[in-house]
Amino acid sequence: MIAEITGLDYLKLKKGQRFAYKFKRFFSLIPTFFKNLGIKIGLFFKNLGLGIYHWFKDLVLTFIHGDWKTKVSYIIMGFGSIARGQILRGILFLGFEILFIVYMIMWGGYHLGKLGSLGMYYEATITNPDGSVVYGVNSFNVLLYGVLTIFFIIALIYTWNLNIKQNRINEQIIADEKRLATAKDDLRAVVDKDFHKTLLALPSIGIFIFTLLPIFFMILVAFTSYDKNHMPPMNLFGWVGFDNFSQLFTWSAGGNNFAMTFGQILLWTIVWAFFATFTNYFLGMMVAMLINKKGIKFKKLWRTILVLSIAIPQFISLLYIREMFQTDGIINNFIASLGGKPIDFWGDPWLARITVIVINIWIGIPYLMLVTTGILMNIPADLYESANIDGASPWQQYSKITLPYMLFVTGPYLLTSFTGNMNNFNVIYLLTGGGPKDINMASSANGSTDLLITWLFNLAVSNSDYKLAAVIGIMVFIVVAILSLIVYNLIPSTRNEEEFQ
Amino acid sequence: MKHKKLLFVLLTLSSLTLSGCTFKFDYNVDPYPFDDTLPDEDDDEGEYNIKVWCDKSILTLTQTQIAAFESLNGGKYKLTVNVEPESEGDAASDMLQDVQSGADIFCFAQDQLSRLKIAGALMDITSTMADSVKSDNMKGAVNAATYGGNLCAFPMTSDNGYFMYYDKSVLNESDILNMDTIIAKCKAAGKRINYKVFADGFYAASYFMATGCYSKWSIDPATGNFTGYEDTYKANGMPAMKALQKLKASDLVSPNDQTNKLGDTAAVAISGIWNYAAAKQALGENLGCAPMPSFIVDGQSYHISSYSGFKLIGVKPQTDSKKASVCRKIARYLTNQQCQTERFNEAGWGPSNIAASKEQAVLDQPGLAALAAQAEFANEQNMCPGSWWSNVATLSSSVKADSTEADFKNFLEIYDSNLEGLKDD
Repeated sequence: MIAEITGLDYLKLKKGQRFAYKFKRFFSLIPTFFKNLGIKIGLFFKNLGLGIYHWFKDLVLTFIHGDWKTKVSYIIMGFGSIARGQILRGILFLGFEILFIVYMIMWGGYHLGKLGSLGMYYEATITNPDGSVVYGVNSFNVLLYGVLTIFFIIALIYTWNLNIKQNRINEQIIADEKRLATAKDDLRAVVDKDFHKTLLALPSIGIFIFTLLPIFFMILVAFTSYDKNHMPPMNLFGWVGFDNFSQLFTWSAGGNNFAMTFGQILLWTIVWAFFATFTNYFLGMMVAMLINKKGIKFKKLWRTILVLSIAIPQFISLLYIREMFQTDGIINNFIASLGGKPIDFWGDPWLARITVIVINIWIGIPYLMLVTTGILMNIPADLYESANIDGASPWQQYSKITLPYMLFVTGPYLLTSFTGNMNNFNVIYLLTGGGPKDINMASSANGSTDLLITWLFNLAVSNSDYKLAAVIGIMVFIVVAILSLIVYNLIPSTRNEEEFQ
Repeated sequence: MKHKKLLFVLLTLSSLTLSGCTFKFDYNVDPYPFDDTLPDEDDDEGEYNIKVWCDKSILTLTQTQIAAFESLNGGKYKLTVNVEPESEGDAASDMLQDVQSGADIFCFAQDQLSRLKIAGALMDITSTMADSVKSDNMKGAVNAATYGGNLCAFPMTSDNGYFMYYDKSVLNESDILNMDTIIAKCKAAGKRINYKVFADGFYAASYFMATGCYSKWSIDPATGNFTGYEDTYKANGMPAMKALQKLKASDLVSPNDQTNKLGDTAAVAISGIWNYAAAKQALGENLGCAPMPSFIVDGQSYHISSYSGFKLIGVKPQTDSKKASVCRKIARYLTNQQCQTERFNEAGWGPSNIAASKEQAVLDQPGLAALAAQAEFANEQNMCPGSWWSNVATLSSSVKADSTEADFKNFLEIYDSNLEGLKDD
């Protein structure tokens, strides 16, 4: 740990010393960071343990001290509510329990039972001598409905707990000689006191079905052998633990060196995200400043022209541009008409990489111009006036006033656009399809502009290698999460405005 | 927030416990192997719901043909047929997404056969039926429909290969024999050559096969895993690399197989019969169709090779053995001489049925005639790992105008060293 110095002392330091101070400070803080992280994790588990302990204690105490209605409610959900006259609540609890039992008997039990193995070899589909088949266990369905069943069980535990809590509260209310809420009160609450719950019910269910369930399903697929050789319903797939992860990180010779391929693609993904984000950002800002400048005429016209490119759906303009840059496209025809040699934009690995970045600039500038125009106009003009009086050069004005202000306001935007660019499937897939192939790449299955996300797409769609695609999906998440957390803690926007000023 | 944390911990724990228990089985034990010596059933009358996938250009025709099948059998079958448009290229991926809800009878391109077979989306053909299919169809088509020694699809066309379209106003009949002449004439006329030779393994291999390269993969039919390979690209590929360099240096090649730019920007297009209509529209009377040209390297001439390609009709395994029998009969009917001829007349598809392919109208079709002339230089597509195609494409795309012979040697080395890893693909 190096000695902290005051702001005034810091300002006294020379440029090099300031850098050295910051550098040392950064590294000296790393052990503290991990120490704090450790403490936080420890606290989390302590709280979790305490939470579970209190939960169990409450359950046991409620059972011991509760009346017979409450005790029956431990087995027949909603019994206590019905017995105490809260028919509607009771029926809802009981209905959920019945629904759960029916679901488990009809589907859940079967899928949950098979979830441990995802189907044994003797449960696989068999082909009869006459060519007809008897479908066996479908590992895919077992996994999907197995996950659903686990969610269902969690929901039941939650509801069951709610039902116990309800009994406890009701006993208390009766003991206090107060009135219990009737069905009428409940119905009124749905559109009044609890209206937020009513409104959120549908979206929550939607998020659960279309977001949460698929994410958990995908995470689980990464631990199975689901690929083209283990394709339901004719074949089974099973759990393989961390085999797929070790495949991705094991160095092997030959065309299947996934570790090297992953490294190469990850590196290009980060390089691409960096350039795609910052070239757009600074060039977009420059264009906005140009147009905003006093003395520029037809400001609206320039903006309209730039915005026109947004009006066309992106995938159409991307496909069109790809054709423009083909060896027989309009650009090369133009070069040829000037007497030049055609340029193979999509055929040369480095040229293709540069071309996608340049085209991305063309697509991105109008958005950035729109975003930054508004912010630029909001920078107080007196700042510039006083800077002028003090004799600041345009560059000084930019680097000391405009840029810090912009970074402060657009920091979160930069972060999201960086992560967005890491997963920028459209631009890469529509322009190059991941190509061109390069013999110096570790694997011939991917091209030199492939991002992790397009590689994942190819693995899943062309090679049916779902297990590895799932692993890559998880890796993408980890990489994006780590980068986002680091950058988020660095950008000025997370500090308060006074500090920034 | 607390609930969310709890939920997450529970799920992570459950996923870890589950994934920690590693179960490994031999998934490939087939306790009831298919006995293809059984005859097809005759007592399969009844009502059936049948879903069919075929290209949209033959959609109505297929409906008519299945109706004809129904009436031929005089009320034995009551069929409710649902014909849906699905291109042969997409059939496999869509089928594999959900075999159980996929089509009962579907058309697909031959390169998808192993994928479909391994995933259990193709039913073998009984031996009695197989014998007639084998005797009726071209040998290459039968090979393309065979997996692990069993016939498991019905050949439908034999036109899925490529040949050369050219503009007669730019090139005459002696020009098209040699690639060097073609390059010189196209350069003089300012026209391009549409040829995916630097972008797609299916086309890239044409140069290498011309110089005697091949890649044969042995496959374990039970598991679908590749067990070994015999590959001569490294040994025989050098002349092809040099010829590719000449082509690359001309700066004339466009990486597409489109024929609609013929007469406009391009004078030559290497493509298949699927682009015939567009070529005819673009060039009209000036359209020429020819086998692939030759290239000369170090004083030796090589005729550029190609792949012969076939489209097939497959039948999905059925839980009802009677329905299985009916589906096989329908697929057999759809690929007989009459139906193949009708398909030629309606959509211009080249028959794989020997008798149909000898009909005068078929012989007179310029594209199919060019394919027939190319046939002796064409190779059948062997079963190979999907990534092998990328490997070849990468090999040809690495050729640059300024590459040296040492570079070529290095590229061929890399290609060769990649092969071992492709086995597990």
